Amino acid sequence: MTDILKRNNVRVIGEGEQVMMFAHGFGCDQNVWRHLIKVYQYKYTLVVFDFVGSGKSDLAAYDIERYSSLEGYAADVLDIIDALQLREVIFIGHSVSCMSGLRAAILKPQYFSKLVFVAPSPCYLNDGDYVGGLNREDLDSLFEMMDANYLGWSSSMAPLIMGNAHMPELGEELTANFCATDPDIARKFARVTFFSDNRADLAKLSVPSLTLQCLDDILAPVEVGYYLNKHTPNNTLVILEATGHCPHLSAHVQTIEAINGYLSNYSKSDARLLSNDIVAEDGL
Amino acid sequence: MQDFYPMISSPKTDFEAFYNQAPCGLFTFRADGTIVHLNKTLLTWLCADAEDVIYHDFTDFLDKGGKLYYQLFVQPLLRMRHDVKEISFHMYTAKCDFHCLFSATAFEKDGDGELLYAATVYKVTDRKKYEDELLKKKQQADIEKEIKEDTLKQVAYDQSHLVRAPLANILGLTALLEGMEVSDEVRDMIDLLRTSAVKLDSEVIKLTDKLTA
Repeated sequence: MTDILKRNNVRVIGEGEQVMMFAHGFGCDQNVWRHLIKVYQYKYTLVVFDFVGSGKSDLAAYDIERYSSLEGYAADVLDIIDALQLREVIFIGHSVSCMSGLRAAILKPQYFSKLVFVAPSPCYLNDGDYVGGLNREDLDSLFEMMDANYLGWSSSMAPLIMGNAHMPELGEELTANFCATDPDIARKFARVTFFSDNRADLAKLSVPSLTLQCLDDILAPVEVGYYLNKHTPNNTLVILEATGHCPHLSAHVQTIEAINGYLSNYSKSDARLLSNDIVAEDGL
Repeated sequence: MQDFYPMISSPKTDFEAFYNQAPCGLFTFRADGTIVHLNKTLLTWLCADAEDVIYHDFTDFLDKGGKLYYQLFVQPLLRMRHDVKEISFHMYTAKCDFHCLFSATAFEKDGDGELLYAATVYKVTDRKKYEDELLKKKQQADIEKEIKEDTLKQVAYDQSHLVRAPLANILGLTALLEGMEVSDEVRDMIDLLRTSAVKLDSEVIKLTDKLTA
């Protein structure tokens, strides 16, 4: 049987009955959650991991078929929850992983208590009246950039990166490469995620969710946040006064405050009151 | 002698001259991308005046792919590791454009402790062309490899289905012939026919296994 925890380089940190699971987006790995881990480890049991093909996951487990759609990544999320026998998880996803979390929560709603989407997008490409923010040419231009930048990845480093997180002699090289990804896998991951259209799935979500959208994010403009909020049952939208696509790195205090505000305000009894509300960031 | 080894020199002037004339673009930007100052070399490369660049977002001088790449990869690295090295960007203004390698390191500003980034930009026109050639060849090789693999898969399929089916017929007919009453000479020929067909079948199986391994 596959060792899921090794395959996805799963780490369990902290204490607390409530489980919080963090899913990194496209680009780096679980290290992007460092600021949130520091704060939440004293209150929650935290589960962080790397998707197969990223960070220190098992590259040999990369299966083109499985990961040719977001279903494969959603299956990774459910595999980890099964392996650790978790329930009522608060799932926090960034960027493309929000939709993997959404797929997972549609398949197994009983596994989740809440979903938090950080800079999500159900569809990156503009389509008729829908503003996704990007055109086909924009993505082609991004893929060209990715081909021109291997970011320190080399095939000789790959076996070292995978599964050696605790070997101090590799420390320096590993930290220098933690955003390094096999370019072939990164290219496929990018195509799967950026060309996916999950708009039709939004209405199927029964788990309550929070959307955190940044004011100035070229990958997921605010229109996307409003769209997602409008079409997802029980969704709360908070617009963060942060720029860029990674508020958990660039404006972590705001991000944490917004999540805290949502988690403390939200209980099953007032679900109706809060659902599909748009909350100003400073109002929390 | 004094002309070559000036005894009196102002370090400040030297540093300023070096900063401005350095054979690479130098600039400092804030965490949100705002350029706070830059050297003359970079200004010349951008064919711009200082006021067109100062207090503008550094990513405004990148193409859309570069902007997306910066948001997805470079900014997270700068936030987490405080430095990035040798990122290939395409910088441009209305008048000029050039390929470059971009590196940046974070430092704390004196006084208020604000995090700033010191960046270098190296123009890489020829090297970029060479890299593009290599990349093109690699992509071509990848495509050819894929075509070759597909062809091999097709051959394996043909071997296992199209070749083994008639072979099975030959083996079946040989078995029927063996049951017939024939002269010794013909029996020898039937034996040879069967041995050869069995041998051919096992070779086809071996070949198919090799192709699909």
